[in-house]
Amino acid sequence: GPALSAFPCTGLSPAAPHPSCTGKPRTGHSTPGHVPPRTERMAVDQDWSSVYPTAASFKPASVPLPIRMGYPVKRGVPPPKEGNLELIKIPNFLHLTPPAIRKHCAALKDFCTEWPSALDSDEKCEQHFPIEIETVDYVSAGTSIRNPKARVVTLKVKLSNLNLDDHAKKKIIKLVGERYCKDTDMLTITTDRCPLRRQNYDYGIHLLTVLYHESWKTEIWESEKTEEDMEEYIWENSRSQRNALDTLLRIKASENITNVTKEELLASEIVKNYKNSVVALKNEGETENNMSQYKESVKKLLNIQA
Amino acid sequence: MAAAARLWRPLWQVSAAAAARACPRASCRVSISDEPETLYKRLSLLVKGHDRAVLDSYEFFAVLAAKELGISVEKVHRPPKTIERFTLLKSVHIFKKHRVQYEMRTHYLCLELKHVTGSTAAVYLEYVQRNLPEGVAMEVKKVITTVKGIKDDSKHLLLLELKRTCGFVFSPITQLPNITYSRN
Repeated sequence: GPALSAFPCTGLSPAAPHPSCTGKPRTGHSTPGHVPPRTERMAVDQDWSSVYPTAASFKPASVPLPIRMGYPVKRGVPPPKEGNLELIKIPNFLHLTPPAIRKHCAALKDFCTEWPSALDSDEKCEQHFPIEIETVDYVSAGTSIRNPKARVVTLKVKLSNLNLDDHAKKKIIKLVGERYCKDTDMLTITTDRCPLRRQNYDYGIHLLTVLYHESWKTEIWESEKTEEDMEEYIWENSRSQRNALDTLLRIKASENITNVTKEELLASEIVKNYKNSVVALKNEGETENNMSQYKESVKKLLNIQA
Repeated sequence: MAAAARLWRPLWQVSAAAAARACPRASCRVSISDEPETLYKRLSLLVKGHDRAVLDSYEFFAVLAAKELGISVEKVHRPPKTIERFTLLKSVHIFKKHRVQYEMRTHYLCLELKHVTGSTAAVYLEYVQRNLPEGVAMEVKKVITTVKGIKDDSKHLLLLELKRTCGFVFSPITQLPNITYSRN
């Protein structure tokens, strides 16, 4: 009767009727058959968002589509929508048809703001706002809405945007270690030691402040920096410079020209060439170009024609 | 966020009851506050689900919603699925040679949105997350680009001294009004 139609038949046990139905039809219906489904009374141009205003399970009597779903029986077709558990199980998007989405967005548009037109490219964003902060939010079904990974905060800055001189830049790179990427010139600080995201963000900013100020200070023990600690090769006061000058002085002495001074030799073209080639070799590594340049400069230095 | 917490009441009323007629009362619920707006350079939504078809429908919904709200969608791509398999004994007791294998397939969908303001992000994310289907999870990676300062010795918050632009204390760009929603 009508009581039966209130509970959609799932086809699991078609023989056993629902315990609450008495089998007696309500007065007003002549046959103990079921009420015709709502789909028969639906107009073609009806407002669908009032049929499915929110997320609801699939109701075969409310959806006027001839859908079939499931594995077909042998030499048959997939089962129809009436009593189809597969259609009820899968999440449907009947409440999110394009007209419904447009209505929702039209109502929500009042709460939105425009992106400032002055910041339309990434370069401008970086120029005005050099620090980027990355946070992650997690949404999932479960007993708890909390996710412990949500407290992690990552700060990214390009060192070229910070006001650092030569010494400060080298010091901050040494302090920071692995967090600096030389190719992109990006310093990445990831903080997750505090339980809340806000605290991690404050700690990250504090770290950046401390690094910035510490790198500008020069400690007393920094004067003991040895050649092994240097990040790049510096030719002045190095063994290579001393050897080259000694060799040239001895060559000049053997040719009996005694009135050349070290400064003159240093300023001469040949020594400058040699210096450039040695610095390039040490800093950039051994490439075809560098090696040939070194060869030419040594030939000119020692005056070999070959 | 406080703004998002205040959004749920009017949003529920709008979507459930009066979505059909563009509710004229919605505009009087909008109030503009003086709080500066956070600017998101990039919003990266990673949606994970067990069913590819559900994710496809969700992608259609999320992309259309972004377009209607005026958010530029940079990229929509589907990273390859991951399958987690494990093997268990088929029987309760003995029969070691007979096992049964289960697997869990996770399909991914990644939506990258560009240049979203804080209010718009709050609205869009709440809308899209409330309509997340059952059994689907989401991770939202937000990249905020906002000026922050570094304290110097005088304990005042200074801007970073950028090489090109001379230090101006608070850029007018940060002081966008933050749109909040009130209950009336």
